[in-house]
Amino acid sequence: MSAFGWIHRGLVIAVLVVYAVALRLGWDLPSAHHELVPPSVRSSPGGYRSFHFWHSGFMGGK
Amino acid sequence: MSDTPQSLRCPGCGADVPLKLGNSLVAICPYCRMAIGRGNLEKLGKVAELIPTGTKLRLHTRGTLGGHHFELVGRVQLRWQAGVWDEWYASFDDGREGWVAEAQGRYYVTFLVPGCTPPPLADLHPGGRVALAGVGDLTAVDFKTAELASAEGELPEGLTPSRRTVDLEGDGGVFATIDYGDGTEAPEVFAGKQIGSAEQHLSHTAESPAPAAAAAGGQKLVCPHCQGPIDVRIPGQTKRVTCAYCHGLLDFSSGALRYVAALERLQQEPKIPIGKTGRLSSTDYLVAGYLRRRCTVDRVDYDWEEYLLYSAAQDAFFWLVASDGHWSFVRSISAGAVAQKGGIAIFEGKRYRKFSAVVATTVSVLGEFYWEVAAGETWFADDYIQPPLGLSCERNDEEVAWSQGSYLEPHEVEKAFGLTGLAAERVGVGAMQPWPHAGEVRPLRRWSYAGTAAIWIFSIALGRLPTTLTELKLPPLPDPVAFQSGWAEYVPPVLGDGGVNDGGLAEAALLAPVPGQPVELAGTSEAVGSQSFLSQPFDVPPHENMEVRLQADVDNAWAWVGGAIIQKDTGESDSFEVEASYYHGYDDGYWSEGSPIAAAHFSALPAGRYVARFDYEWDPKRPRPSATLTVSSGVSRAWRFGLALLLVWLIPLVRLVQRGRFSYLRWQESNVGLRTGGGDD
Repeated sequence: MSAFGWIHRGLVIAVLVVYAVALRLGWDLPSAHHELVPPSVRSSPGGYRSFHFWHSGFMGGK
Repeated sequence: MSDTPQSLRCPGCGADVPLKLGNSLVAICPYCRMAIGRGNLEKLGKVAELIPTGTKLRLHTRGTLGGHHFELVGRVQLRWQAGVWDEWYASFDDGREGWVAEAQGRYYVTFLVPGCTPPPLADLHPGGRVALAGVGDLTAVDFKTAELASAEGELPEGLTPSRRTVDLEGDGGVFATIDYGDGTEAPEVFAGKQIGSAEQHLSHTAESPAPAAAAAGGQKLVCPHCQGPIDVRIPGQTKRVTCAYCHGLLDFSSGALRYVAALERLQQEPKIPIGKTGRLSSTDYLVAGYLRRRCTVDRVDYDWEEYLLYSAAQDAFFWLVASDGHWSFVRSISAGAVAQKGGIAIFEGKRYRKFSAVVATTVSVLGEFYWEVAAGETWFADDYIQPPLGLSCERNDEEVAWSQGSYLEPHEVEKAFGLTGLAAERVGVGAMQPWPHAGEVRPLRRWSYAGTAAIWIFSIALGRLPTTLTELKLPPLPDPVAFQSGWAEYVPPVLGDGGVNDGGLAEAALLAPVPGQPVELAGTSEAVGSQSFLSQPFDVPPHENMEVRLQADVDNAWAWVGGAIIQKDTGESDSFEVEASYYHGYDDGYWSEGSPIAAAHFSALPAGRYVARFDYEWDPKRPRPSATLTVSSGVSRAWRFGLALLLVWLIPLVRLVQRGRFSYLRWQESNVGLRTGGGDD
């Protein structure tokens, strides 16, 4: 079997493993804006406000 | 066939002429060459001495065909513009009489087909299909005008000085000859088939001994032009040979060398020397001859080389063809076995696509040949391909010949003939060159199919059903907000000069709102086109991805949501933002862009109690659009499935692209229009 054949086998196996793990653990690609805000930040004076608070207002659209 | 001895007295010399048949019309006196009409012992004239042709057959040779014994009782030698051939009159023990012909090591046995009327000669052309009653559909392959050269033994008919004949071939070795004679009598059709080697069917006797075997190494002769030594390696078959010293073309069809013409010196020596032997597919071949041929397309000359190979074991000729460093092994096939339909030729169930149509000219000649080769001879040559195989049809006004080639890797030729460096001479993609990775395709596909099946199985076995964790429906203002699942409007407090942190307090108040009751806090959101909402706590299951989905009733408007999923126990939050905007109108036709639905996704959160906060914004100049905000878990994600499928098929797809590119490059060399390639591999 050629190198391509071995690479292909390895790739298929790796894809299946990752796919199974992704399904099992609920992995997903984060979409839109996504960040983790720890409690320390949220609790600091003036630290945590909602997006709405800090956001000057979404100016999207046409 | 009769074994009863008969004889007649020759009216020419008085000798006793032995006879085998009781019904032959003509006998040739072996002593004075007189042709004798048996009816009244009429002298029909003397025939010339027999011309050596290298035939393995002899008068009175016996054989067996189809369980019937036969004996060769007569021979006619016919001369045409390119040489002499023999036709043997055979008498069978079942009373039939037939003819045995030989050409290039192949033997044909035919019998008269009574009552078969062939089409007029003018209606036939080389390569044309002919329907013969009682025989079938055949292909006209060879048109000859022949003169009687000599004869011996007994013959069933008078001696015709000249005749027009057409040879035809059909599928399965069917062979026929239409003898139009000299045009004064009705044409006759003889049909039969090609048979195997003579050794399979013939038995020589003391009366008809086998011809002496050719001396090992052939015959050593002297060039009549320059007196240089010449080796004729296949004396039984060779018609023409070249002199390596004076570059003369010599005729050997009569068994003696005769100078024909001067040849130009070779511009390039053949890669395989003449006389060299090689072994291909367990068969030994002698390199007997070499041709350099040329075609011109779009005023560009394309040369290729053809090596004539001789297999002593099969007593047959083959070709080794080299073009741009691409080699192929070529054998003759019956024209009758090839069916043509448009640009397709079908042979042995395989379809071959037309690749080129050129006029091929022989520019260089070296070695010895079984036909009357000449420099400058031209043929129309059509090539069809089904890599690694190919068909070639060469035709002129009198003849059509089909051959089948199979691609040879350079290392195979190197190994067979002890050469080196052929692989480096390969240029581009050969017409018959198979895609080098063709053998990989099936295993690659097998693994990809198995991977695809596994992905489906995993998706079913490990996939989750989506679960709605919390949902908020916002009707258009001024309708009151219908909070569901304990949603509360949340107006964030304003920071004072000291930066009072009230976020925790606000959350604390909102994490336990009265279900269904909006919490009115300070400030008005409607004026600025924004509102914030906080959900009742909900449970997030383990190992399930999350989706926040916004479905807004936007029409040439936008709606935006920012927010967070906040773990109640730890206070950690995952924030997100999504926008739903949908615009449409008319501007040189209807157009639209965007979507009223948008979603954000993220990986599984640690299992536990959470609340969701949404900051909903919209165009402040417009009423708040209605919307539904949903938090779900265990959502199916097509990208995961699609990406997995793409990856398991990635390498087969890469190979597919490579194969397409390979095919494209191949067809770039075609001159019949199929230059876009397309799955010929």
